Amino acid sequence: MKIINLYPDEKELIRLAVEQNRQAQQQVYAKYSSKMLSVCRQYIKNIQEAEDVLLMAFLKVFTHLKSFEYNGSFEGWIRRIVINECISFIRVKKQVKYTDDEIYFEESFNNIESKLSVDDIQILIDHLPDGYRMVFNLYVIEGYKHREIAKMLDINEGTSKSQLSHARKMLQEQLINQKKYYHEIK
Amino acid sequence: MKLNNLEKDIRNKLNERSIQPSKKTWNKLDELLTASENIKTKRRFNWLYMAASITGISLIAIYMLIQNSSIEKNDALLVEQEKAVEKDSTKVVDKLAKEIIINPIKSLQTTTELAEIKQHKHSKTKQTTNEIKNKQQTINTQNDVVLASFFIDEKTANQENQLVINPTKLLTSIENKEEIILKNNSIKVNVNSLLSQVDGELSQTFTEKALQSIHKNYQNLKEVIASRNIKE
Repeated sequence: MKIINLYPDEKELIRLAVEQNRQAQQQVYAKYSSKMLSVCRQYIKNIQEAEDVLLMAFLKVFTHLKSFEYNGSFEGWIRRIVINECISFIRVKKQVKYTDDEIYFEESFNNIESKLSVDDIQILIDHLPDGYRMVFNLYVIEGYKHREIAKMLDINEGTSKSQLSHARKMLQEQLINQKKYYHEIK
Repeated sequence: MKLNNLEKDIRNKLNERSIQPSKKTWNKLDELLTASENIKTKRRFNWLYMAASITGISLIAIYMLIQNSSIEKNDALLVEQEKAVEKDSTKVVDKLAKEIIINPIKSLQTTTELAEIKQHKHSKTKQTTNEIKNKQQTINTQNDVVLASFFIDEKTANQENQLVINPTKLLTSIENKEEIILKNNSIKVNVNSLLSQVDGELSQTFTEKALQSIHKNYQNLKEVIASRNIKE
């Protein structure tokens, strides 16, 4: 689907989308949906479920577009809505278990070379439990601080840190196992 | 904890990635958006309906209030009119009484005319006709009394210088004089024209009120005349 950009000015596009101009809304969707589906996919393993979440997130975007105040980037605002929608979807679907031990490791993660493709990375992230995956995504990819993550997930800051260290350790183990596997094949 | 090289690499690669959603997703979103817009418009219309109904009810209430006040005004006017009618009727009765006192023949005519009017007006209902008949009878008796008082010969009264009147003589004299009057009375009254005139002028309520007041005033007159006769 190729949509011709009729409104080069983003402000004008947003204004029209606020006025429920369906063409403008479609343009906004076409512009940001593929990136936002990628974000959804980071949190949700099933692509169809990720699409459903994306749908609901964009519905929220268009219904709450009046409240966008042009303080930050429009993409960042949409991304925040999408992430919140993903978190609430995971929470509703199944109860997320967080390990309460606040022992976190200073692992030797730096030494591992990264020649992984995006799909390999996604497979590694998919293998993480929901709690680990959410904290890892929020901290590493989105760049939130532990205080913010704790607030978003309604957990302690320490729990957030321990979740991240567990996620890192798990990823490290997976990468080592992957390397061993490739060596065995060769 | 700072991000290591691998994490930075993961972040960069994932941020660069884009997954194209299926075409159905937009169609679904479009449907959802139209549904939400319809709900919003319905809500707006609900508010409109509410506002319209409230204004309608308030208008009806105002209209009712205005009508009530006008009815009260009309009632007040009716009371005033009734008072005026009573006054008029008393005047009419006074005039009639004077005429009766002055000219008994005329009074007889007028009383008969009135009786005819009454009979015609109240022929539709039995109750009213009965009332009229009763009134007519009373009027006739009153007339008799009045006539009797007037046909007393003043000369004989002066001669005798007595207040007591012989009833048999009085009755015979009245009968004789009435016969003479009726024989001499050649005046014809067109009842239909009179009625048509009266129909236009008088309403039913007016006639009833007038009759009632006439009846009252006649009674008063009767008493007055009776008392005068006794005094004489």
